[in-house]
Amino acid sequence: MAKVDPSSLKADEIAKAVLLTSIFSAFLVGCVIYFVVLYRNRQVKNKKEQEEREAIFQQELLKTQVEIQEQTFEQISKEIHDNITQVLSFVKLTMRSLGNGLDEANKAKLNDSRELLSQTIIDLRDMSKSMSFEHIATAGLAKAIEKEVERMNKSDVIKVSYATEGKIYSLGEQRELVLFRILQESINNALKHSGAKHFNISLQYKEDLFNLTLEDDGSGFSPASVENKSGSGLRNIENRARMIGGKATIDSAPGKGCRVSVDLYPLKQFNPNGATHSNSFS
Amino acid sequence: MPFKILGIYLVLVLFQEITNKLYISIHQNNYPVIQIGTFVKCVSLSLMYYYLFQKKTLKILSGVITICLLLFIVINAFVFEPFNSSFPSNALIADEVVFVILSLLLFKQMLQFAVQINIYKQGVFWFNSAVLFFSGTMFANFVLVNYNASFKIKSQILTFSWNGTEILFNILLGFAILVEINGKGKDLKDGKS
Repeated sequence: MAKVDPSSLKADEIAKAVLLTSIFSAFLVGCVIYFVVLYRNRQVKNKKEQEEREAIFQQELLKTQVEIQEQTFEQISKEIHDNITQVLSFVKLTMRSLGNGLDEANKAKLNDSRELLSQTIIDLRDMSKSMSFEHIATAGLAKAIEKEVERMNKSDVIKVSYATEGKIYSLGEQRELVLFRILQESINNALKHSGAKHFNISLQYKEDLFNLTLEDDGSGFSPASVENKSGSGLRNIENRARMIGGKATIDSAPGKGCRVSVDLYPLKQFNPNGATHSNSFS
Repeated sequence: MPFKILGIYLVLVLFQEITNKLYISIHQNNYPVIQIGTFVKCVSLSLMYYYLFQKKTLKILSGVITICLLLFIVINAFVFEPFNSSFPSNALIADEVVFVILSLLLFKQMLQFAVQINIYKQGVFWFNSAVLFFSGTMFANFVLVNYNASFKIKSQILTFSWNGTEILFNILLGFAILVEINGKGKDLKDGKS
């Protein structure tokens, strides 16, 4: 029988033990690496959740802003319709009765003033209508835009052209109101900043896509120059479009006017809350 | 606060290493230094964990475990492995087991409350990894040392492994403090409190 050297046995045992310790250490390092991977995944998940929460918050904030604005518009609209135009109509009637005792020259002057007053009353009523949520909701987007175009063209400040394509369908009160406010914001921008002479409005009603395109021939701007301005009307347009699940694209360059295009997928309503939108197209 | 404790602990470790050499040269062993070192390590790291745990239940748990461990270390030093004449194997093994558990609990807490800072730039991560690695490896080392001692075997590899693990542990703890200080410095620069 062969004899086993006890020292070599001990050396073998030690080697085995050291190997086991090394494996155990490697296992611990592996555990730490696994933790790092888990931690990073959790960070990504948390970041995503935080971004979603922020998006929801922004949406809610925007909705509240729009609601407050609409309430203010509605109040002003009612005030114009129920108070100011009524008072002006009464003034007009009084002027008519005053005219009986005047000579021809003064009568003519009074008639001119009455005509101006009539025009002011009509303008105020139109303005009241374009501000009123109820009016836009009742008339629908296409009709409300038509009225707005008439009103703008009457003013002779800017020449507005308007065209629709496809079969008109309802996008829902809220979305139509927001689109109408985008139109008003664009016209306001064109009048206030660009000095445009012409303004084109185009509505495209396709089965699964709605598009609103607004173009002016004004001075235009460099998009980078307005990017950092907070509270800019252009940012408002983008935010409003996002709020109703749409996407606004703004193209402009110095001297080349401005083009705002809003795409909306009526069947694919974006709603970060997961709730059904009351104005979803069905 | 926790990293201040860690800083103090590292200074004490340096002091312990110097005392170790001196004590060996005078008394031919370093048992009392190791016994005191074990107690100091247990108190320091336990306090670290107490401050790092956010949940009240974990704080209480770590407090209770630490008190039990400290009592055991003291009893062990007087009863089972006398202070002047024995190496505190029991105390060290119990100590490492407790710290493996605490480090795993801290990792779990970190996963629950993951912050948006790169994990490699978090001092807590380096500290906890160091404790897990050291306690786990040292636990295995103790088993080997005791095995070898029972057969009166002297192994250079084991001594190297033991010392290497300790050096690596202390380097990682120092690195954890450095990372924490850098992170705080950046926060102050960014105006965060």
